[in-house]
Amino acid sequence: MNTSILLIGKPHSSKTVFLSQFYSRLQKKKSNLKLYKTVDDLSPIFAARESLSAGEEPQTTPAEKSVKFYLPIQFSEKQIDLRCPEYGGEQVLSIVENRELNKEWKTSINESNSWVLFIRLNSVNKSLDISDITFSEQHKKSTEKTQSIIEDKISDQSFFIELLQIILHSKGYDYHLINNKVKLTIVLTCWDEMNTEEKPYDVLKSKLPLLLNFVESNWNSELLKIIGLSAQGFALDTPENKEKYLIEGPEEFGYLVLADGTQTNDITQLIEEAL
Amino acid sequence: MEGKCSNLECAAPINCHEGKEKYIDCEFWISAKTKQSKSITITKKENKSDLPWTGEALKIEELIKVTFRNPALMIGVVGKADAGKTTYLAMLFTLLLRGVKLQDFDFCGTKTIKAWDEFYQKLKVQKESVAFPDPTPAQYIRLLHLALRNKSKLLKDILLSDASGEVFSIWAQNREDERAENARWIYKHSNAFILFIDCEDLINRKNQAKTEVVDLAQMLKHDLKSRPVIAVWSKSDRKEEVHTKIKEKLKEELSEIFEKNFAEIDISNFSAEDPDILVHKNNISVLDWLFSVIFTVTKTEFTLEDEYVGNDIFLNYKVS
Repeated sequence: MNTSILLIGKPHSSKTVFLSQFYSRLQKKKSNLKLYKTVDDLSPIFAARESLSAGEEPQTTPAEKSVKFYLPIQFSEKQIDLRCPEYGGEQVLSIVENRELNKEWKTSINESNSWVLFIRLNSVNKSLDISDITFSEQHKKSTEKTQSIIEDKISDQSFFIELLQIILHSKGYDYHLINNKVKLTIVLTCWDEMNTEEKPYDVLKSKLPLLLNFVESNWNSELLKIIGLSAQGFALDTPENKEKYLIEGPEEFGYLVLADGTQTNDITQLIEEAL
Repeated sequence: MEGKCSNLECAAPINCHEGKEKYIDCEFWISAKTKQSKSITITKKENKSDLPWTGEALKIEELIKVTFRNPALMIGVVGKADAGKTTYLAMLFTLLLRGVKLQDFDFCGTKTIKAWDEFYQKLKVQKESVAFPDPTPAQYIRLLHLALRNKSKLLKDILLSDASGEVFSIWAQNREDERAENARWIYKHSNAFILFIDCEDLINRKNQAKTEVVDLAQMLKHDLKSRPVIAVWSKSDRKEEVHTKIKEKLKEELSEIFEKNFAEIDISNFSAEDPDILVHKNNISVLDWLFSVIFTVTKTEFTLEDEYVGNDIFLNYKVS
């Protein structure tokens, strides 16, 4: 059986742009990797490829679009399947909401010992809570008469922790065992949006510290990696940036930020990182 | 086995209409049973999730979901209504989300993340104000779970109780009151206690409020054995306004009641600065202190003998 890498991410966590850029690099032979066979169905990334080559921001995949997708990758002697059991990401939300993994997910989890979790930190909301603010008398006064306005929504950190707990459970693990079988690579996507010089680990620590505690105490440190990814390289919102894409081609852009903070322009290296 | 045969004329399980010696071998009986088990499968499907936890707070009868491997450590959160017990739990998770860590333990999971997160949502600042959790209904004991791992990677399940304050006030007056069942359950099963002292109540109701705390403390003492108690002065941002005499007397009386394995700490939800010791540190220190006492006690249960006893290394240990 081929080694398989499981790609997990909420809607709009940059899975499409990554896979589209990844595929283009392989096609244009800009990577050490190759495809070991033709991809059966490219339709999930078709629109994104079109947009990028026209220098346009790709439309986001409709979240409810439930398409599975995989790339058959030749990595030296190995054949690796990069699998995305469901593309839109809606099912990832549903795993936590409905507390259920469908058959496709169960099989993918069962067959893969390399999990890649895409997190787009800029879309992670950290609302102010009482521990963040210095309380004034004004706050206290309004406290007394407030009716609770609570959205029926779980916070992002709790979401990711529960998602991993459910997936681990399906794999036969829980917090009683320290994971020494499955490698987890947390990929902080749309890195360019964050304008930071920090290392990916430190960024995760400052944005989602409890999630970091959770993965660090459940994974053997050798099997845990935190990296950054900008699949597009920059936003395509200025004529100059568009021009770059139009002239050089989208596959020339995008970069990875490795755990030690160094950047590499070959986003297909993510496969080596994840193995 | 209870149940009816698929042949309505048949009296099985009393005897078989078809004359079989054992009614369970009869095809009509069997077909009735198969139908029944089918309907059970369908109801299971409607429940959908086959995960053994829901993320909600645990009820007493669900404790096995956490304790099936190791006994969990139960912390009884005790105090009168509106003393800040649930808000304390909310603040605890809020601080964990913020990245504040326990001294000797790392967070490695929870079976009750929805309940924790709901508490956290209440402490969010919305339109410049905070909602705070609603009072816990009298009939409930909710148990919140944390899985923690210590530095030597040993796992400990922690449960914190969330029960209505009323039941503790009733219990403090009459240990056997039938309405105080939840308080008795928590008292019996907890390995440690957090006793809430409401500074605001001491400001407003003065000595009356103090007497209630002392009554509750005395009830906590009756069968306490070596279980640690930490007295938490909640809403301590206003502690200065509590009359000095009341503060001193209460302090003195509590230390007389509890003697050993006892500590006091001031907590608050309202920071005057950032970081604020009462808010960002002490809310976590409550657990740090309890764990330090509990786990030191466990350690001293086994002592290594100096003398050489033999080849069996386990004989070198004895329970003190």
